[in-house]
Amino acid sequence: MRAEDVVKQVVCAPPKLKLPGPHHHCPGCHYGIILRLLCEVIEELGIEGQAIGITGGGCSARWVAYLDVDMAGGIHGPGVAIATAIKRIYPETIVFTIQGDGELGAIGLGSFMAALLRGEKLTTIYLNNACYGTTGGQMAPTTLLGMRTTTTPQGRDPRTTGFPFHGAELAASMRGTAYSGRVSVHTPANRQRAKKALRAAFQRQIEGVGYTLVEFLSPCPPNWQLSPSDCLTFIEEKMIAEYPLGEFKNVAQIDY
Amino acid sequence: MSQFQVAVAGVGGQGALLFGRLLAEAGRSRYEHVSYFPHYATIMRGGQSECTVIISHQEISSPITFELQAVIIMHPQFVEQYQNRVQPGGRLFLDSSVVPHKITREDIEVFYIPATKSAIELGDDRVANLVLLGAYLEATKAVPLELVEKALEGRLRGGRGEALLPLNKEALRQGARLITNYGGWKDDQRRNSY
Amino acid sequence: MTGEKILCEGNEAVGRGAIYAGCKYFFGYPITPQNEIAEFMARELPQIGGVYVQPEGEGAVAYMLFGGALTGQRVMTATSSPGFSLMQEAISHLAAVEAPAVIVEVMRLGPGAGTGGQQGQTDYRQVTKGGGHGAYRCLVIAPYSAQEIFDFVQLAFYLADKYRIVVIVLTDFILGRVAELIELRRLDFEPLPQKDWALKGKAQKEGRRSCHLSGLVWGGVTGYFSRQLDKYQEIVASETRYQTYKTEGAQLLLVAYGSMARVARDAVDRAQAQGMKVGLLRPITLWPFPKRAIREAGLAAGKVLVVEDSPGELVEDVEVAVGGQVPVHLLNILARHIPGPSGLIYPERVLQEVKALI
Repeated sequence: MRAEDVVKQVVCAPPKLKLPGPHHHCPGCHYGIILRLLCEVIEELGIEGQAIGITGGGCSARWVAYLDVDMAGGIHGPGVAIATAIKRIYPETIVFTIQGDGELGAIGLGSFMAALLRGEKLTTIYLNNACYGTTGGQMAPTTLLGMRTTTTPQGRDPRTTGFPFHGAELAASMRGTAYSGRVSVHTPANRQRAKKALRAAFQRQIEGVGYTLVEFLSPCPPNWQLSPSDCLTFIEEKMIAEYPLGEFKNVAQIDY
Repeated sequence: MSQFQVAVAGVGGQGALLFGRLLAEAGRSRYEHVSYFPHYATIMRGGQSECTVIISHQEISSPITFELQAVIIMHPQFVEQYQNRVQPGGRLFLDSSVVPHKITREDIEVFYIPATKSAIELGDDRVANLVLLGAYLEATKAVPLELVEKALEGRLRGGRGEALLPLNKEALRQGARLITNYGGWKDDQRRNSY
Repeated sequence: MTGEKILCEGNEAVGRGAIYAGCKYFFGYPITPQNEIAEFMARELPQIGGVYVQPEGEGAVAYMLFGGALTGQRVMTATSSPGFSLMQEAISHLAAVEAPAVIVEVMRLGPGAGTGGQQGQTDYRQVTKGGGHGAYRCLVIAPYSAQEIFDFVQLAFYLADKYRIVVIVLTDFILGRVAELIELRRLDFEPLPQKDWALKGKAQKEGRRSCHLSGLVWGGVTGYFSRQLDKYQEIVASETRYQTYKTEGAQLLLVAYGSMARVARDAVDRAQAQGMKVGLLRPITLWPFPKRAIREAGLAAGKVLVVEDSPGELVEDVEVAVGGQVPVHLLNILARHIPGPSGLIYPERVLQEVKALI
């Protein structure tokens, strides 16, 4: 075996739907991995011609320039409302939103709840890093109890700031939801499970069943003030303890 | 006349707006220009409810005007304000069964119409508005009564209210008769007593 | 093209005009006094293959308008003052990505919850100067009859598409409620370019990708604003609309828009019948504002009377237009008569003011 062949086997090519050029995510952030999984799943399902993605504010806003499908966004909060209009106007398209925990659990909670109540046939890629990453790591609805952030300098106290927001469980509790699961990409095995979950969610949208959501746990090294490798431990020990991984709902049919 | 203007004031549920809407619908086949302005509070029942109708051969500059040729008062709460909205020489119609007032203005013609009492005698107090409309049409000749009947048919035919059509038409005609045989305030007092 | 005449309320005329313009998608939320528009669309759109969506509030409505506008289809919403305030954020985003949409604002009266069932023109400044952030413009059209509402809604869709801009059709309680005879006619406009920027999936566009990011992360700040300024300049040059009424030889110029222009017009008729030389200039577009026409007519008359059902907002633009060269008087919301649930400014009151000034 020649050396070049070894390289070809070990390093795989970037996904076709990832537009050329670097992304802007910080070292140790998992958004790049999640972006890759998203590209792969859309490509493998053969839906790139029908796919339309809506990004939120914050770190995933610029995914409009990373994915080679129709994209819009950069707006903090109302992603599912925007996506709803597109899906209602073009029911044959596959519409997904990429939104952070501040969006689904705080500023866009109303839009999120309303879309769940209506059972919109969308896919939400929900990125949970337990803080507002872009703005400097302030407390988010998902910040762990006791966790220090720039707006909870003494650590999050549930008596004044409430308890962590569980988006995937909330989605699973709604009648109009077809798929809801929580995944992480901090180990290779979890990455495989995450991709399977994302695929299952898109599949349910393709089948026209109902609302679909995949919550991704992801670290924010600069704001967590941990090294990329310590972030992996933090996810394993702290994040998953609060936010258990798994599939909370997956149904082929919703009775109307 | 080239233009007729009327304001109808009642409380929600009395049918002041239907009076106006029917007149506007009937008026459109005789006049090139019609405006109907329903003005009511955001309360489904019992709130103040007023409308202004103008039917005209000329373009209608404003659909609202303070002084009008005719005013219909269906409830005592409007007497004080709305009697001032009749132009000198104009006409004021009161449902004398529910409005006990005697109007003192001498520069207008006042018709005391026992509309609610007539409606009850016809079988349903809710057609008092149509008794008043019949009276208004007979007194002013703004449009022929038949056109209003046609407008009513257009609304009620084929719907839940179809069975009420004869009653509604009779109310209109009763209103017209009250004008034909109109005997003034004293006569009305006698008619309204039970 | 001429068509059937029907007796139609202003609010219903909005819906009919939109459907004539090819709008099949409406996003709405109940608020008085625009409910008849949403109800009309909810009833009619499904019959023509369209969609009515009612989300959790006007904020979401406006974001649905954003998503809908980006599909390239003609989309509309209608609201009233508090709802319009809730929409400002999304309107700013619509402006940022230059998405065309039509918003009908049926004004109610006053700040806060205002007065659902009352007449007012108290949103002039918000509508014409932009309630959202970022120095954008919306084109604002102010019809004054049911026929104009029907026609101008069609015009609004055309202008929205032509300039990729949000067009606001501004009416109020009176105009929304007044029923008048309207001729159902389809207005013909110049052909428009293809919306090659629309989101519909690459498969519908020979593999071409569309991308819209609200914000100026890429592409440069000056590039964006210089494009906007060019566009705004063209709109000012080509789309400024107004109407004069009996202004020839007038010694007093009334300026009013929307329902108050009807009231002012009636006062002009009455004043002329009594031998007074009074005319009316009615801005039809509130932005672009007919600054030069008001200046010329105002200077020719020698004095101006602004009639508006507001403490005084339009009057500020009129004062700027005449540049202090002639006196500008104001008949405002305090000139209401009381009859009716809320009081209204009647032609008689305007005439009284005209007599005092002439």
